[in-house]
Amino acid sequence: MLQTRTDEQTGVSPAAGPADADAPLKALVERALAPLTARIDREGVYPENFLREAGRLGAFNRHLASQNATGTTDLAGAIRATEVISAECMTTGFVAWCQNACAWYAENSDSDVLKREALPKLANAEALGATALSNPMKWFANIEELKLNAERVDGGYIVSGALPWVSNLGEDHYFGAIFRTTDANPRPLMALINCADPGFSLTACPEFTALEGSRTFGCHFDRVFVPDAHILADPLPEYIRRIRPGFVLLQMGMGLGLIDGCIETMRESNETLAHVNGYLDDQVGELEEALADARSACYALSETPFDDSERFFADVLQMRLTGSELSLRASQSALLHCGARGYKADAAAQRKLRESYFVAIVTPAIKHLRKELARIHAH
Amino acid sequence: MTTETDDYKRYICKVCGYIYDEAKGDPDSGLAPGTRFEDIPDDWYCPDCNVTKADFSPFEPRAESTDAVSAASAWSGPRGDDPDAVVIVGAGMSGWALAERLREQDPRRTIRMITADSGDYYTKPRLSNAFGRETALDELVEEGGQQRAGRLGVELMPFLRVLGIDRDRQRVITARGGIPYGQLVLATGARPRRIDFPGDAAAPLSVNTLDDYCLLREALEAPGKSPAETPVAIIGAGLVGCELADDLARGGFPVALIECAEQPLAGLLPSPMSQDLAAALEKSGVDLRLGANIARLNQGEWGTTIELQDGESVQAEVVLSALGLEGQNDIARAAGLDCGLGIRVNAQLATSDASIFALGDGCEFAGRLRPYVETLRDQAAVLARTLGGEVTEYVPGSGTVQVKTASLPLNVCPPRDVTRGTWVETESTPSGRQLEFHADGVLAGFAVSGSLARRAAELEARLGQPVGAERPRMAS
Repeated sequence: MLQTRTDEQTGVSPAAGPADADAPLKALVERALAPLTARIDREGVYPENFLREAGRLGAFNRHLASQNATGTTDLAGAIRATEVISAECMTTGFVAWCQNACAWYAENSDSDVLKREALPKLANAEALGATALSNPMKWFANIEELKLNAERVDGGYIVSGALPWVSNLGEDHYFGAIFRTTDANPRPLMALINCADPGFSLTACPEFTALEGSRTFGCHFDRVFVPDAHILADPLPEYIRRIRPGFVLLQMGMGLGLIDGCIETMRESNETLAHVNGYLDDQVGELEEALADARSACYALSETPFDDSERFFADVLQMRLTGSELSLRASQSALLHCGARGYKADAAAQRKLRESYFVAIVTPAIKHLRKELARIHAH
Repeated sequence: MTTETDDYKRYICKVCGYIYDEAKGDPDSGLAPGTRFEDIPDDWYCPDCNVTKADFSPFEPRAESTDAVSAASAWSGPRGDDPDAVVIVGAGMSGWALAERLREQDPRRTIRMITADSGDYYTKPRLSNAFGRETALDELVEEGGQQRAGRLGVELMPFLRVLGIDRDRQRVITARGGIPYGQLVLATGARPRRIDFPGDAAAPLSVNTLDDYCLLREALEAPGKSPAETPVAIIGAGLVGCELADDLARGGFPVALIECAEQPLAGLLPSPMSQDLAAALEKSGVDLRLGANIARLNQGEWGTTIELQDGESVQAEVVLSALGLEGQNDIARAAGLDCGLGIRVNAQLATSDASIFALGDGCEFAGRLRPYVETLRDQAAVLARTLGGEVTEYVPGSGTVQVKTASLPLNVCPPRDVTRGTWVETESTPSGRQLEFHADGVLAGFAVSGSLARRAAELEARLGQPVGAERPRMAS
């Protein structure tokens, strides 16, 4: 019994990165994802088979206490799984987050029907899911108007409107959406929609600079009927307070994994270019230290996912901001480390640079986060 | 003369934000530059998201910009990390006192302060007598945090909570990134001890910080009634409870002070002084409920009904809890530092980790907390020297406690061991009293009140000296 646990001595959970629990997922990434990364990025190949296999491996149920073997809300575990994926391919890391978020909505909802019918399939990726909350998140922060409206009918709501781009969609995929009712009691409601619902259609999006394989579409609601049993929450505000720390923290898997991947790219490049890379601003050691700090902080926050206080949410937003800023630093340094070799169209470094800008602009974007932090701390 | 091109308009897609500019048209979809919005055919689609013309509205550029120039950098972590930095956690009186002393001593050392609040500087004792002195809320802040930081050359990181301490790597873990330290000082203070009383009423307020005090002021003013119509109940007649009761009564609020002991401040004051304080509080209108235990706090028709175990009850619009303090040492404990009532420190104010120090209300020295201003000032002076390389030991002062009840000001120096000696009344006038604690023929403590309260300094100087045999009278 000579073993001592360093985490007990220092009070910080080990920040060394994805633990051994992630070895099977790492092997799968290596085998089934890595060969596709460049095509996912450039040709828009959607990593569907990988997602299904990762789901069977338990990569998307760690934060779902009702769906995993431990019966716990292991948010840090879910984040680590997304890190492992994002370190290789952040497009896939992003759709993994979409999947996690969609299941998170069902897990925390009051709808027994959704918990029975949709949640178990989302948890093992038998069904694929998305989150269309960019617009409502901006609506909560007074940045945009809500884009979907709903009228009350017998047994449910008729939803109309359009959302510009929602990712991880397909013919039978689920996604969470928020609309405003136009009945006598106008209020926002959130529901789980299926792309197969009558009246719903997907349209192609313009070509993006990265993340092409994320199956991102425009969403059109032409009088889509949403039954009461598919409503995730009514009233909405209390539910949003419950899900939002998890929603944002789960995104950290993208940034943390990306940074990890950038450091790996830099290390590889140092094998031939260390004598000149030493003149660059952000070195492997510094970024490793910053990544270890960010992981410690992120996993510490993940221990209380249901703390619905404004103070805690401010910490979560701050964390997300730090993740974005560090992603930009790391990817820039990775490209500078690699030089022209990193600038080739199929090089990891330039892809990671484009991916890092996605971390920084996907809702909540850096400007959105700073606006919210300023509001919360203004008293 | 205006040409037709001057009045080209722009229309925005409400769904994706694409802007149709009549001057430019949409040549990819066959709309030549100059095509008016109304001339666009109905089967035209937004080139970015495929909605129709119906989802466009006239576009007016926004005039407003961001609130502040500094908005961008306000939430970023430190750059140019200095591994030798002194990092102070907490920007209360202790944290700021230490920063000030450190800077006096070394004009160049990197000093960083992390605080969960704004870092604005105020003195906590003033929160207890703001009504009596008619101090407005904004007068309580003596200096803005950033202003003070600028003046002292301190890098202040406000609104930032410490999530952990990585002692192996000497990093403070926060959501804004890791902050390296050469030496870390925990000035995390104390927090009010709380009891969850049964009943359905909202939890009572407590006053420990300026933010708490603002909430109290809001609660007192919320009903929009005069102070006389806003009854307040305070649970606990310790230092803070007595001071606030007296202050609020002076501010015109009907105050009930509920205490389970038989006297106010019974743990600190010799009995005759306690009785004087009780009388003074009652004279200023405080409804003293002594020996009273609380059964439940219930939501009443208005405000809260406090049911006492003896069957009586007290109605109050605002309920305050003042049940004493406990060291705020969660971070220290989670980091594996030795903690008891507070963060345990040795004579150099070092914790069980030689690179981490603690001072102020949250540190435990020689087995007890000393949540007093005198203590933190002494500790800040000593610790600044130690951090500067001149190892200095902290020797506790007399431990004189000032009780700022304006109705009866008191200065008390409690004896170390109340069982080894006796309280002796040495002077009694209608306006004040002096009691001394004599142990083994020397002065080991004192308590002075009212007009005699200002004798504290003189008595402190005599501590430890033999007491004359003149006119001793047993006080109780």
